[in-house]
Amino acid sequence: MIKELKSAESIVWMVLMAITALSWLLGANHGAFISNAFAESSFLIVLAFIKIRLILFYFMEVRHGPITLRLSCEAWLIFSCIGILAFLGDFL
Amino acid sequence: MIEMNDGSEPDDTNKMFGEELIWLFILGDMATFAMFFWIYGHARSDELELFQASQSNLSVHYGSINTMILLISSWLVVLAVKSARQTAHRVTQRYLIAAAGFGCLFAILKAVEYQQKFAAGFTFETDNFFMFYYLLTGLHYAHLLTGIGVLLYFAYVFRAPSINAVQFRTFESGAIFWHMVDLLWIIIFPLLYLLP
Repeated sequence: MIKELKSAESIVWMVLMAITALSWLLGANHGAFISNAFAESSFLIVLAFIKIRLILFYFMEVRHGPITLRLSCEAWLIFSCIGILAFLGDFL
Repeated sequence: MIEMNDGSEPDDTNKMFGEELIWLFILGDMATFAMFFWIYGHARSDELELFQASQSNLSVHYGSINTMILLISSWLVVLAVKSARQTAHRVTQRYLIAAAGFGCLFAILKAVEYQQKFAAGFTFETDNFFMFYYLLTGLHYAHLLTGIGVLLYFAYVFRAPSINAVQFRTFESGAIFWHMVDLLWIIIFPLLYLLP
């Protein structure tokens, strides 16, 4: 078990749990840490996409995959994230 | 019995985890969800006050706890894949059953949440926020139930002391599917529960 906890994936998992706790704290206390609503929304969305990238590259092992797969995943991350932020901010 | 390396990493840097077809399906599914997320973002900015008022009827705590439950489940699947590479099939089975158990826990909590929302009179037709709430979480729920079935199926497959390379690749594809269930929830969670 100790050996398993020292693996890269387990460290990634702890980071994922920590980011979730931070998001929980922010979501339960709107405006307490970031006063601007769009800035707070953007921060929460970017945190979510950081988590997703970690899951894709470490849990789904995309980091060991062929370049086409890595680029496809990076493209999905960038387009999805920018699209959501643009629509939420009413820029589109 | 398939030959694997030390059990921690794939043996080269260009190895595809899972089958190519599952990746086509996963990327297609993720692209479809991305479009739903964009449409949701557009609808939310159009009717911001309504979305904020309706969203306040959801519990941030439910959403957060469910996110952590899925993260634990995903991690257990990572450990299952690692132990399978070391051909420790009994251990793999236990990890898979535990992962499916956490998936069931998510399903139960979500069902309780649905029941509470229905009891309070919030249905698919209440307003646009709840339409998206039921649509996104409902689609995710269908993926979740499928994923639990996949995990239990592979827990059954790993009862055998050895499996062939094709079965192992299919197992990796199953693991990828389960991680996608987690991944989709990770973006649904802030969109529906957390945004200010």
